[in-house]
Amino acid sequence: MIMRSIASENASGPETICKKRGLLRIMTTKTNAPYEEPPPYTNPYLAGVLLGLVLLASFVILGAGLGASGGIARIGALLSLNVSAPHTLGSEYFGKWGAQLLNHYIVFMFVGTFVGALFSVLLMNRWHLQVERGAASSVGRRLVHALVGGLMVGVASRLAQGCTSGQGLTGGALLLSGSLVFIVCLFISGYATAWFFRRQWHD
Amino acid sequence: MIDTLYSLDALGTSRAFFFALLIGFGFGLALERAGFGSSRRLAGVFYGTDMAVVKVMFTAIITAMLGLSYMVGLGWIELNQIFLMPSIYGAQIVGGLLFGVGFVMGGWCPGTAAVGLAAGRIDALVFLLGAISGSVLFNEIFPLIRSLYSAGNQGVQMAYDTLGMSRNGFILVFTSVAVAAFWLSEWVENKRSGQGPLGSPFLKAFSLLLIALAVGLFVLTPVAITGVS
Repeated sequence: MIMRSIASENASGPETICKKRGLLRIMTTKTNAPYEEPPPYTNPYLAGVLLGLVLLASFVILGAGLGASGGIARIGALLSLNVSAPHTLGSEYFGKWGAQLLNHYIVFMFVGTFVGALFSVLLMNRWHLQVERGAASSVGRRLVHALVGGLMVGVASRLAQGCTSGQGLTGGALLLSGSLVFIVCLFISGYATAWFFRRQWHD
Repeated sequence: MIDTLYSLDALGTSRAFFFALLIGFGFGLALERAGFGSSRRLAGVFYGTDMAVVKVMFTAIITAMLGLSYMVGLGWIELNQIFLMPSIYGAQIVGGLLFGVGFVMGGWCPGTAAVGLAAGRIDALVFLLGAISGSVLFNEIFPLIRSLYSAGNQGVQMAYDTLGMSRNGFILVFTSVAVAAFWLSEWVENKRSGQGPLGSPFLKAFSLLLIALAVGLFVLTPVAITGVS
């Protein structure tokens, strides 16, 4: 509640516009729809403190940080196992994980992440079925970008043994040299190539 | 002294699974509150339109780092009770570079895509299918990239040891870099939107608090903790 009341410093402008629009709608259509506009996002610094405290709890209770790509990889390994069990169990990388692929804390963490996010989405009324993109971009372009981007992230996360959660947040907070190098490299290549993928966000 | 499940070798127990579910819940909740269920907001960091990724991620890193350092300083926990990933520079450099391209192209990363899926984003679902396929692809090509996977393996490397600094000294520098990044982010956003003066009262007070907490570590642990004891 405190988080909600302290709006982002940048949100004060758009927020007043939202209020006006809401008021105008109520006045003109005479249908009171107070929950139609989702509330603004939490102040990013306070959301960051909340995220940091969750990470700290993970360190103290589990003795391991947060992770997401591990859960995705284990789903991939499970699919691979169902296509060909001998091939998967005999492979050099997935083979080490055995056949009980979902029997791992990182899988439960991934499920928890989805449920926690869904809880917040429902609470804040932010569910919106859509292909998120710029108004001038086609659905096809956005989905191809998402698919190929996902493929690259899938490979990269296995290579680096973690993603923005496992290497970025966790390794960063633990001050591990390799994790900090990973974060720097991620932003270098992101900024270097952003121009090529800009059109999916054009309005 | 707290015993972590990792230090008890109990990460494979149902107790650990339950706590992982609970911590994951908090993780997803925090990411959604930050607005990370939107690919447009995430990608905004690369175009200077929305710097929330820098603000949220850096704040989370600093918060957990300071919190953990205080707990270590008070003798409640030891660093070696936490799983520390090895630094494998070759794999992490190539992995990081590839990850950055995938992130800006796809508009998601693994954790936020789960949040996006919960928020009804079809592009998040497609991204996740891509990431699952990428994991399978990695397994198939593993024999070809085996040497890269372990290239430059230096074992567990703490950044302050690598740089020859004290832990407290590095934390103060790192916290200062974070505060500078917050102000730079606000400046970039203001320049884009042409909005008002730089530095809200909140940001000023928050910056002071973080620096003060980093300096406070020198008071709590004047004798430098170095490495993993």
